[in-house]
Amino acid sequence: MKASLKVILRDTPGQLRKALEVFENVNANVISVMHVHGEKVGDEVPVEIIFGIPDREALQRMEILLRESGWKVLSIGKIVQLSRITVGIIGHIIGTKSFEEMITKVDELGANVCDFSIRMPAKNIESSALLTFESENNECTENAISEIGKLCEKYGLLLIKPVS
Amino acid sequence: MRKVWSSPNQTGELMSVRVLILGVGTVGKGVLKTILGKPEFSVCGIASSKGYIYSENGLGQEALKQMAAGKKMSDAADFKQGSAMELVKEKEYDVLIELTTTDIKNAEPAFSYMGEALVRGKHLVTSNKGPLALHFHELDSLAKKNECMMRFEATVGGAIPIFSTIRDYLADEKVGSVKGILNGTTNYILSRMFEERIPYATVLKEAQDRGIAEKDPSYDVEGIDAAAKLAIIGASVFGKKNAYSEVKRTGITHVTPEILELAAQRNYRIKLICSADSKGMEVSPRFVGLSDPLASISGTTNAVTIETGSAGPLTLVGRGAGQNETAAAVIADLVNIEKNTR
Ligand SMILES: NC(=O)c1ccc[n+]([C@@H]2O[C@H](COP(=O)([O-])OP(=O)(O)OC[C@H]3O[C@@H](n4cnc5c(N)ncnc54)[C@H](OP(=O)(O)O)[C@@H]3O)[C@@H](O)[C@H]2O)c1
Repeated sequence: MKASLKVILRDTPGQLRKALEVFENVNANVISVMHVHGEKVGDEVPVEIIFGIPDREALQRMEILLRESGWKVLSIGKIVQLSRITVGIIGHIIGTKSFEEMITKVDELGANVCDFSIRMPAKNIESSALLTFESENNECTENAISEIGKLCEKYGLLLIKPVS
Repeated sequence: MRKVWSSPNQTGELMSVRVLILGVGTVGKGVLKTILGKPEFSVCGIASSKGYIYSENGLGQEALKQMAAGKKMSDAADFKQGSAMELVKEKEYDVLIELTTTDIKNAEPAFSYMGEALVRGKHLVTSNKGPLALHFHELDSLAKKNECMMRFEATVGGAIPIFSTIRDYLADEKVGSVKGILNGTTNYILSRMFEERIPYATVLKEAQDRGIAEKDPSYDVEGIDAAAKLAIIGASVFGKKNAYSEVKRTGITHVTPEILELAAQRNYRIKLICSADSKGMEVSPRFVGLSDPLASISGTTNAVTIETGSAGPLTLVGRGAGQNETAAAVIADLVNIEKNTR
């Protein structure tokens, strides 16, 4: 998995190499290093390192090792790549609880509804809407689409899924 | 594979492959026109719903030409009233070309014609979706058991060589999925709704006036035609047993101009997509991103994307119906059989 670490280094030669010794210990490999000079205070400069690491356990070990060796860790964590999925929904949406239920369901599955647009051309005419959610992985996306599908069936709405 | 009648005659010439053509409608006439210019084939019988004409040594070129041009078969001197089954069951021929009307409820009588021909060891070419969508595996095992070839390129995607690409070109590849736009009428309607921002009912009327949609459009707009085609893909490529009844199907009748517009703002088009993989088959309106080649398929054009292991996705685009296009697919199958069985 991909992770990121923000740690404070003293702006003197050899500091970075020392910090990176911990990486070898936990089988992490560096992808990129960025000195955040804009946030420099005295001779202390924050450095952001992106790296690959086998699992969460190794990441925890890395954090402990860094702190034990006296590094100031500002943040450390897995990088989550969110993908955005948009589905279309057509039907009599307004006046039902369909959307509230969809948002709750998607939320429960660990995805996050981040956008909603609707067109209502006239009273008694079917509305058209787009619902966009962010999801961490394929499984979460598939589950969310399947739950939205069930709710569309329950409320007699047409669901338009993206082609995979 | 069973050899066709190919022994040289007394003068040493190779004799032609004898074909029986059932159905002389739009496609049948197109096939007749092309076949007449090919001396390696001889048409020994043709049949409509009312009767047939047959001659063991091949029907006269002039009579066939006239029929291809629209002359009624029943006006021919040797026309016999009766069922096409009499020809299929009792007469001599090498290849049956089955081009009769599609019936998606029970596939008859075409299914019986095809079954009977295969049992008799005759090769089969067809453009008729019904029997293959409903009974693919029965026909396929009959063909194998009797060492016959069964070819059905014209049933899906008109002139687009979907099955021959998978069977021949991709013979060594594992096909992961097939998805495509396989119904011209619905693609025309969705394209026009998008371009003109007009409602479904208005475009449907326009399509009916232009002869692109039938008076009763349900076969197309409810996704039935697309589902039948997808079932043939599901059965032949992914081994689905009850393919047609397993297809999840949603038509386009509820698609609105507003959803097309909202989708366009996010760089999507909406297309009636047929998709099949080992997990299942579905026909439904879907969002297609602009970077997908299927997004730019407009009007009555068809397209199909075959997802392969190492060759990646291959997209084939072409005319999905029409006399010449469908006839071209039938002839390609016939030539393929001829090459493989001489
Ligand atoms: N047209 C296309 O672009 C296209 C494209 C792909 C696939 N197809 C398929 O190809 C097939 C033929 O299409 P088409 O457009 O040529 O149809 P068509 O113009 O309606 O012609 C159908 C022909 O089949 C004959 N027929 C019907 N029932 C019969 C029976 N029980 N026994 C013998 N003959 C019978 C009809 O005879 P009568 O004249 O006596 O009624 C007619 O000659 C259909 O299955 C269709 O779905 C068509």
